Amino acid sequence: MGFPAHTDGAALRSLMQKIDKGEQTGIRDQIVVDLYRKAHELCADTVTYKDRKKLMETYKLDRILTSRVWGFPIMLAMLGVVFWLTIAGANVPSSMLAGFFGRIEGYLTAAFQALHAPDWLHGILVLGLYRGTSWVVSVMLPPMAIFFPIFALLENFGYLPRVAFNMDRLFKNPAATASRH
Amino acid sequence: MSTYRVALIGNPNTGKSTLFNALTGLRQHTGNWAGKTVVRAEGEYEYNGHTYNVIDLPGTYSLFSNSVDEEVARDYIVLDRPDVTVIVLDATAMERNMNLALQVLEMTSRAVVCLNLIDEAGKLGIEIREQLLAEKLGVPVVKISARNKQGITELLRQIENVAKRRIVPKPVQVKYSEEIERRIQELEPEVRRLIGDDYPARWIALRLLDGDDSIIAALERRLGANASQTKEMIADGLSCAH
Repeated sequence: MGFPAHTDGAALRSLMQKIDKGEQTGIRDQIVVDLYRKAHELCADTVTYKDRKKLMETYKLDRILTSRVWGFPIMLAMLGVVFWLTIAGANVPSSMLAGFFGRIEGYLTAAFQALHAPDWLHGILVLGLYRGTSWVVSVMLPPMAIFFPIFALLENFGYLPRVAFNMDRLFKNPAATASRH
Repeated sequence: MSTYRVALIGNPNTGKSTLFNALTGLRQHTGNWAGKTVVRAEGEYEYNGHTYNVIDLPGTYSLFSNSVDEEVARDYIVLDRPDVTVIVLDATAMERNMNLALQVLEMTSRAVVCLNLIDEAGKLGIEIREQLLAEKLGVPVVKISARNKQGITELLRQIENVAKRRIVPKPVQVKYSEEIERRIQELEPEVRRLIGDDYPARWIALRLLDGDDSIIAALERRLGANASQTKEMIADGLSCAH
């Protein structure tokens, strides 16, 4: 390849160390300012907005959803509704599932008795394994089947990125970022 | 028939992945970048009898190595030097996106700028003069709508032009303040002498001024690996000759 054979990164590092650290402060800010100035210049020459009002309209909802005043109340309200739907909505299917599994348990018990199975076997398989599993399923499945689709909808509507934007303000204080997942 | 490497880079939510899917279809696989918890998506397509290996770099707002994502994207462009880098910009937010394009153009000259979501921009009454922008940037500019598969053919054509060096772009360089420019002028020849012409000397000089350790470390690793690789190749060549 085209680099000199004697090259090692150490030389680069020593080159960097020669640079006066005192002069380094604020250079990143200056670089970013210059980059944005150039970007602005380029866009001013090549991009025309026929209808600025129309453009601003698309940001109207953004401004409400991410406003300092309304951002968090709206977020809490949305999450409140989602959780309420999840918990309240899950009750009915939960009890239906529990009833359904309960009926099957009745049949299973009858079958075990007809076969004269010992009590301990019935205890392990039906009262332990079957009842435990069916309870978990009937309690967990309905909330999950409600919560995840709603959350996916919020994400696809683009609401979750707005929430991340709101939360970013909070996370900025301890110098972390909310964008890491 | 040859194989070219194409990298896609852009801000998050510019439809970069939609473009990736439109280009590669089902011929793709995902994994992780070695040693990093950053998703690496690779795919390929064929055009005019050549194979193009496309890599979807993580979406980033800048390339200042503020995060692992930014480092991965930066290292790939600077050190792995793809044949073509496609810079995907959101046509509805040009000014915000342009900043990344300028940073990429400091790192590589072999680039194509791709204005995605052009249909959305049209609906919002935004008009972009892509010819003028191409002149000003010094690289090909293509308007597309990845979602509607619009403008893809033109994009493929421009990627081919740059990959085959039918077009050799001369990208615009951001002019910094006098003070910074003066110090870049001082450093650049020195950097060029140390690393040769394969890496963007001006950009590395700027990073040195910025006190960016991570790029030096990455270069050290890469140059070290390359240097021993070259040695091995020479040794192989000698043993073959005998």
